[in-house]
Amino acid sequence: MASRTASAAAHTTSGAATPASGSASGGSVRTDLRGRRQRSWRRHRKEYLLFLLLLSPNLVLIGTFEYWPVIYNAYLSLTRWNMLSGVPEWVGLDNYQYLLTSSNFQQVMMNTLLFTGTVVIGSVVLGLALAVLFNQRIKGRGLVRTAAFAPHIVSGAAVATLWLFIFDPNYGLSRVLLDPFGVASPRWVTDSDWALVSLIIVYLWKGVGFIAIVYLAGLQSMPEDVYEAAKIDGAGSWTTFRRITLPLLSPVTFFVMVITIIGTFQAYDMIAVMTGGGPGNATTTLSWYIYEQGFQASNAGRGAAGAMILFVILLIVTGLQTKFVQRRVHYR
Amino acid sequence: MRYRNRAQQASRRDLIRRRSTLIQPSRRHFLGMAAAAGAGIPILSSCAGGVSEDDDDSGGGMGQVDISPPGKFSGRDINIVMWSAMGGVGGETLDALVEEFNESQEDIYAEVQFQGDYHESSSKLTAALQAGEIPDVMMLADTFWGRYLLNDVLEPLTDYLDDELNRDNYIDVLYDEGLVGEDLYWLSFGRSTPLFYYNKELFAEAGLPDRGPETWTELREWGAELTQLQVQGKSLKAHAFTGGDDWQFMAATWQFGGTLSDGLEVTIDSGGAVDAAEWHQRFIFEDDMAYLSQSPGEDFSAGVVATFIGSTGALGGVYEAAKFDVGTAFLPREVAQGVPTGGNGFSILKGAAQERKDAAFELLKFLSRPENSAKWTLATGYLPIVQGAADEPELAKKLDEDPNFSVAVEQLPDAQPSDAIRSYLPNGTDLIIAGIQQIYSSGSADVQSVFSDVAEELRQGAEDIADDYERYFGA
Repeated sequence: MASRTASAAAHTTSGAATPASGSASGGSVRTDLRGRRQRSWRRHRKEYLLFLLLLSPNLVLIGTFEYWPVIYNAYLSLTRWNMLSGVPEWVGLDNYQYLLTSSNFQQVMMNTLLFTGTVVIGSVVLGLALAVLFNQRIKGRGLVRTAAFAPHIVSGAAVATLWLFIFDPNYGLSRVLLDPFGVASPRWVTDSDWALVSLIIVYLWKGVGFIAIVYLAGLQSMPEDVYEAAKIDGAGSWTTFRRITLPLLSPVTFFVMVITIIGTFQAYDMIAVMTGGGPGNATTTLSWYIYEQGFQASNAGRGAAGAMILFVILLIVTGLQTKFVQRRVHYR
Repeated sequence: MRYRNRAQQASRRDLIRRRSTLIQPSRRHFLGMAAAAGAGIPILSSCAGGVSEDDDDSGGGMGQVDISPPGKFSGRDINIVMWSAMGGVGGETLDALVEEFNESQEDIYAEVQFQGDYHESSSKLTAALQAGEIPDVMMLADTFWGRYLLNDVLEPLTDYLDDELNRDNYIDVLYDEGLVGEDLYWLSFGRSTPLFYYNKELFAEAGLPDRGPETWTELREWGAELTQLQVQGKSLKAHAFTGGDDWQFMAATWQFGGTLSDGLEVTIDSGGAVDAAEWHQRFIFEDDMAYLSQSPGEDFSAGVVATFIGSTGALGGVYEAAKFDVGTAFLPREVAQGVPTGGNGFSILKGAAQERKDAAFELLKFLSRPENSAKWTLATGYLPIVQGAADEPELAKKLDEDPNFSVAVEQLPDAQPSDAIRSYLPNGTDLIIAGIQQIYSSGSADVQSVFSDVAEELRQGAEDIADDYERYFGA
């Protein structure tokens, strides 16, 4: 406790020291200030150049492999190009117009929304529930935690192949489990009504362990005294959970929401292995659609336009979350 | 939690605030976590930049992808690269044949580079062409070479033909599939036709004759018998459809008297295509005799379905997995016969230097020798591609011993080339497959409207490639 106070005090002091030089006012002082700034610039120029020099390898790498592709992609989205013929042909907003008016693309967006929404909410709720469970003093807790986390580190292709066996209506585990109840196993991945559901189940299964561990870390760094206080106040376990645990966990919730939303929007691997976007386009999400247009249809322009739409969606989502987090999540 | 007064409430809130800083991730921490979680933005990254000129080349003007001849073959006059899309047994067999080619002469070294399946290797070729560094000879699937033809990157092979390799000593149906007008652009190699597979034991149990059905209608009649049988506590299905390919469906379209397209004129939304799809849909959902399977071959081998239609190339795998007698037959007819061919062939790339192209053709000639074609067929189950291969002693013996093996060879003369929309429109097969899947996976899907949508997309695509198509095929 004492050391914590001390570090907080140190922080305040160092924080106050920085803006001290800026407290001047009045004309002469301002000129003086400008002069001082120039001198300071001259003095610091060397340092500044060194700073840029040290930064440049990263800037070049990020510029080349992050920003340039984004910019080039934006350009491609305004063209028609099959990636074989010489040059992309400028078509303006044709690709966007096509996407926004195509009923096929509306279905794709519905799939994406349904898939992302369910997986995100599902992983947060289940992940939290698991974390609370793992936080209890139960026997074999370490083993269970490891087991729950394991799917996260297994490759998506392997997980997908495994689940294809489980979902097989003829000789899969799904049939073994459902048969005793006299229920016929659905044809999970080859039935339009079940295919998206099966993908959701698999993505949840793979992702929830990671979320649980992140939540668990949050739960374990909870201050005991708040809970003691709540206990003294006579709060029941549900009230404690709702009024203390949940609010205190909100930064963690924010974090897992951001990565699950981004991750789910980008989901590709297990879709590729399990359904290939089918049957029909029942499991075609935006990211799969981008692949389909770009690399199966050799329609770089339309694929790029899809990628720009995904880019904008993720930008908006991230923006909203940042805004939300400033108002609701930080307890500062 | 009930607070006794405002002050206490405030102090409690204060306490929570202070404590919460402990578990609140700092910005750097947060970014670290986000980076660790691999958060990023997916963008179609593409290789910018055009084709680079290679000064050393005397011919096509494009460089060669990296090649590294092993010691004993280094220092040969010319090195060539073949890109293959075939892994597994096929890949090993091809490697062995090319190794024999290298041993058989002293001027050319050829290297096979496996580039992933047809889709992946095609993407890599596209990138290679953009980069201007290409392989010399490329394995392309029957539905992939058309797009390269229309973009003028394939070398016409007609002038290379000689006494050793020409239409007369090739199986003509297979040779003709690579013909565009008078010119040959694609040389058939790993080719197959679909076969009708049936489980002899289940057929006997149901009191059916030991042969494939003559027509779809007969299969449906037999289905009534087959579905009486129980397998693992469930009623047996008569037939498993695939959703992974449109090959079988194109055959069904022909069998029902239609086509997917006539030239580039799309016809999937009328006649035989709609009839075939409606028939199949009824067979699945109303008759409850068939279903859309994830992998028909596996289901068949496991004995949960009595019949399926699959490639000749699947025969080896089915034999290995099935614990019952396997029968194969010609595809069922309905109002007509319909036998498509599938698989891959080789094209030489126009952009390679002339001496590399000459050397590449020497390799193709070697692969097309009867004894090598026979080795290839024996190892993979693909069809013999040249006259004389079937007379090679080992293959002749095999064809004689196993009637299943010879069904495909006997069926081949009836084969016809694929409908153009499927071969030349890059996503032609994908659009058709999506339509078929929709129909096979839902009893309420309206076939006419599904195929109208598919046809509309196909027509838009056809419009885009029409000019290039006409340059090669005439209007």
